[in-house]
Amino acid sequence: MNPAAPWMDWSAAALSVRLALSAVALLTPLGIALAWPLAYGRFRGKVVLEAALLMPLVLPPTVLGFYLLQSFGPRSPLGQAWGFLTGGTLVFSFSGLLIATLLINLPFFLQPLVASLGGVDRRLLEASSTLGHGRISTYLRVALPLSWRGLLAGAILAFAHGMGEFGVVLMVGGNLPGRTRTLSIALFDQVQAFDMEAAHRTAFALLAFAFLVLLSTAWLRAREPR
Amino acid sequence: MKLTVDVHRQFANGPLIQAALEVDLDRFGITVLFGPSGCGKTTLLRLIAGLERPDGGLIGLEGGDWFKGSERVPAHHRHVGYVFQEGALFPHLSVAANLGFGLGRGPVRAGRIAELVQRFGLAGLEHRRPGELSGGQKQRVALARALAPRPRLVLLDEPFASLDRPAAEELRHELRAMLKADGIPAVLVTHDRGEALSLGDRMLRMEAGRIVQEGRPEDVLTGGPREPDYAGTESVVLARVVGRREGLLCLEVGSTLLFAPDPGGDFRQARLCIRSEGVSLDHASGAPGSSRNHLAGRIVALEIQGALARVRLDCGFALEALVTAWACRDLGLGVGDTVTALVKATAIQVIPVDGDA
Repeated sequence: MNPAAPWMDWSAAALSVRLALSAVALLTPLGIALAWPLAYGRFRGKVVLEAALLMPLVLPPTVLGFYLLQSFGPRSPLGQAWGFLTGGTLVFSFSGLLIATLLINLPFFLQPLVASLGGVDRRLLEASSTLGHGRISTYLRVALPLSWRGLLAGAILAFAHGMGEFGVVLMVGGNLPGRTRTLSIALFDQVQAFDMEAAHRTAFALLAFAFLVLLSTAWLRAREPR
Repeated sequence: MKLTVDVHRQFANGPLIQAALEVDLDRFGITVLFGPSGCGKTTLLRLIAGLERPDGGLIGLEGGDWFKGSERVPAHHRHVGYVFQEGALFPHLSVAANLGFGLGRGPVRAGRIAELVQRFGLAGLEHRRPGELSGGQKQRVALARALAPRPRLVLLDEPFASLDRPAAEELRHELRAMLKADGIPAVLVTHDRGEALSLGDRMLRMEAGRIVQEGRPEDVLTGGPREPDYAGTESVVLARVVGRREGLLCLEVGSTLLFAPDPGGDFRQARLCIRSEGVSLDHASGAPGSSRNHLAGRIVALEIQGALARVRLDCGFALEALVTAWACRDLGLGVGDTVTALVKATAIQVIPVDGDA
């Protein structure tokens, strides 16, 4: 055992939690807005939108990371705009990591929510409209409250996945201790340094966390009344 | 103000729905949309409510058409109440919140909710969720919820279909008074003859997507088949109760008195359904048999169908008799003859009419 190394890379753990929580906080309003057209919309190009939003599920994270790195760079329009507005950079910063985490977790957030919304009895939505409520009001007052389990399941999944994301984070954020080094990257470092004891602890912490999260979402889904 | 509907709509695997009707929005009345299941009644109701888009036609209203060409007023701007077959109450909201769903915020809201709770017999249930209510209670809430915002028109899609018989009858007896208190005209969809006769002021009979007949319920149903695939028809007539004795009702139709079995309950008017095979004929001076009811009438039409003869009489009201062709020849009956119609009391079904139809 390496006596100099701490029992766990606490700054990496704190960063992972902060990143995942911030991502979920931003995903919640964004996901609620995007879930509506996906669940109830009938428009041209809906399948294209669905495919685009689901892409992070199958795309190698490094590929997404690569494109984000390109579009975040200080010479890209996005990077320049960000620099002009905040004076900072997106690459190798927490903000850049957050945007990347947001994008890659969108499908995890949306899928359970859209499934729940699709299961809401249509007549309830129709009843709401005959009582004078337009589509947005009906969505917020009837469809969404009845889909709270899907919303919660999506938030939990996105949070859990955001905790452990590796490829995109490494591409966009690099490996700066305390700034962009998350738990999964710390694990990679520990293995590289042959610190297997620390690696075991980190890996087990992530494993136990993931299991607990899946257990809670499975429990939520089992209780969804149908 | 009149709502004028003349729309058509074709579903992929259904009949072409093409119906025209008018509803007076200024006067209280219950219009019954009557017909077999699958004939397009519910679709027509949904088209009026704005829950379904017509392929073409017009839903016209003074001061702003609801549907014309490609312009359509969405359901939430039509101020039409809708009661679904199974209530469709919001399961995540309490009874009071369901009732208030169509009401704005403000001081009027609480008062209106309290009034509806009182009128619809929901006291003590305000804080319950729909899952904790009986079927009959759910439909009361659904009805009260639809009426709460004082819509211009309320549409009821078989509101008793999901209830067991006692609950359905109890609600049926109260429905008219419930609707009338706010004076909101209603269109009621049903395939139940008894429901149509006890509630309707006006009846539209629908078949295979079209409205084939319109008028007072007794006129629409007279001469119609009592049941599908059945030779007998029936005559329907509105009567006033003048007395009751030993399980029999004495009813007055115009100046004629009729006796019929008393179904029980408190009512002053009823629609009588007289089965045509329960009416026999005799010469004007026929001797009384076991039949309680002897009516003088004149034959207005006589139609021989194989071994049977369908005889239409004018007894002050239209009455049909189904007798054998042989008996008809034996008596030497012909159009214009005066006869006595003998109606067995047991051939008369009494359907109470609630309130003052």
